[in-house]
This record gives sequence, C-alpha cells and structure tokens, in this order.
Amino acid sequence: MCPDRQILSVYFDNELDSPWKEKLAAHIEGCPRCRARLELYRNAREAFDGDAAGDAAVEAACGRILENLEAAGETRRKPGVFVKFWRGRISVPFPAAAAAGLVLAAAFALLLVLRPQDPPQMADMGMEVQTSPVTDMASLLEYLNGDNSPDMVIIKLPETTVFKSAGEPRIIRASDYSRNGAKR
Amino acid sequence: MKRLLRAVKPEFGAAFFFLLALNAGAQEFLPGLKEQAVVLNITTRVAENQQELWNATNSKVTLPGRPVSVKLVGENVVMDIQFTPYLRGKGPNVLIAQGQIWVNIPNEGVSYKTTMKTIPLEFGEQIYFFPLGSNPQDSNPRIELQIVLKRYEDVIKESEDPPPDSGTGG
Repeated sequence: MCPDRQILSVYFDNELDSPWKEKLAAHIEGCPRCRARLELYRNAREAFDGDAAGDAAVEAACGRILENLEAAGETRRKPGVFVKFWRGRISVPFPAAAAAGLVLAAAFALLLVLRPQDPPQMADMGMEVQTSPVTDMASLLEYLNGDNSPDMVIIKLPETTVFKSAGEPRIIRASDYSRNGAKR
Repeated sequence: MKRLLRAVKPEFGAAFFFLLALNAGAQEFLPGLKEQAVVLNITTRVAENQQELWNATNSKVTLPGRPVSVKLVGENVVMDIQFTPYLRGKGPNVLIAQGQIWVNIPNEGVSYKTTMKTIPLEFGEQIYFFPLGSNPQDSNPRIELQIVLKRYEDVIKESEDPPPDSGTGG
C-alpha cells in the first residue's frame, strides 16, 4: 500500500524518522508510482531553485534598465523643470491667495451664522443683569423667602362647581386653541 | 370724596388700581431689575359645555426665572401651579408651567398629579394651560388659564396712555 502524499513529502525532505524511513525506502524501491511522485517533487524543487537564480537575473536586468532610463533622462530633461511636485515650489499669485482666504473666511462666518440654534427646551436660558450694588441684603432675602410673596396668587374657584379630571394637563398656544375646547 | 369717586369712570378706576398694583409689585425689585421685569397676565376661566361660567383676571410682576405661583382652590380641587418665564436673547422666550393638582372625586378619593410643561412664547402671545386636561368630548366643567407675557415697561406705558375707548372687561 502506498503511503500518504504528506508522508512521502516528509520523506523527500529527509524529515522522516527511523524505522519508518527505512521501511518507506524499501517500498519506494519496488513501487514505480511512489518513485514517479518523488520525481515530481524533485523537479519542483529544482524549478524553485532555478527561480532564485532567475530573480537575481531580473534584478540585474531592472538595474540596467533604470541606469539606461536615467542616462536618457539626463540628456532630455531641462534642469529645474521636471521636479517631483512635493519637492517643488508652487507659486500662487497674491491676489488669488487673498481671494481664497476671503472665501474661506466668508464660508466660516456663514457656517457660524447658519448654525442651527438649540431648541428652546434644550437651551441655556440663564440671564445676567448688572445692577446697582445691593446695600440691603436682608430685604432681598425677605423678598425671596417671604411666604407673603407678591408673586403668589390665590384664586377661589366657584364653590358650586365640581371638577373632574379630563386627562393630562396641557399647555398650548392660542393658535392651537379653539373656544369649544377642540385642539388642532 | 364720594363725588370724586363717582366722577371717575369705572374703567379708569380699574386701570388706576391695576397700575397701582403693578407698581406695588415693582417696588420690591432691586434697582436695575425693573427694566428686566415682566408681567404675567393670568386669566382663569371655568367653562362648561362651551359656555364660560366664571372668570378671574390677575396680573403679577416678576423677574425672568422667578416663578409666579397660582393657587386655585375650589370645592373639590386644589391646584398649586407655578409659571416661570425665561427670556432668551436669541429665539423665543420660554414659559415653564409646573403644577401639583389634587382632585377629590366623590366616592373615588383624592387623585394627585404633577406636571411640568414648557412652551416657547413671544411677548403678547396667548398661552393656554389646562390643569385638568382639555378633552373636547368631556361635558364636565373645565378650567383654563390664559397666560400672556409682557414687558413691565410696556405695560406701564399702556396703562399711562389708555386708548379713549379702552376698558377692562372681565
């Protein structure tokens, strides 16, 4: 029975240990199929070894081509014209540069102006007012803390009316309100 | 004195007392804050079946960010609502309505609700707040509060120069 291809490959690479190595050698002696496969491996190895030599030849050829190209380029190019662009200097007329700067500044200003404003619900609604120096903090505290604050309104609803809840509290603008209570 | 009082038309009398009340409120402000003061005109209405049964109008001077508390006390309801105006340099002003609402429903007990609503508004714009909701199909009495935010200085100017046919209907 012929061995597996991988075992044969291992044997070919001389990595198979005894006593399998000897047994496989005896088999190969009497098996033309395995000998043919080993011959394939041998050819492949020689082909790869040959490529290594070919690579050196290609590199040598590339070197010669580059030398020829450089030699040809030296005779054709005018000095200072054919320069790699990232090494060269690009001269821009001053008016064009100024115009470009103005356009950039205008675009930036436009972006600031057109920036969407925060919705009122999310906005910072703080306010600061500069006032005269406060001399009487006690009266200020009395104003802020007093139970009889002028900001308190007590409304007595009609006593004969009994109310029921008709839903959740709502707040709407006049434009969304009609007298019969229907909302748009 | 009585003659003098009779001679004064009711409309002008009401305007006078309105102005007096506003000034009394404004006296509380620190110097420099009067210019920032605002007035909240609050009209409370009770309506039933599309008919207005009752109303009351109140005006309170306050500062932006300082709430005006309204306590509504009825036969079976108590509401504690705070209206806080905020002024914005850019964009509309904002009114925040916070409330606690107790309703005693016969045979059911007391229900308690809290609410916090925010709405953008312009000076002079009418805003409506319905603490008990506003179901159009409901035939029960409804409470609505109409709120109008004005600048204090503008209100004073209006009161000082009333139009010839102006009145204070209620």
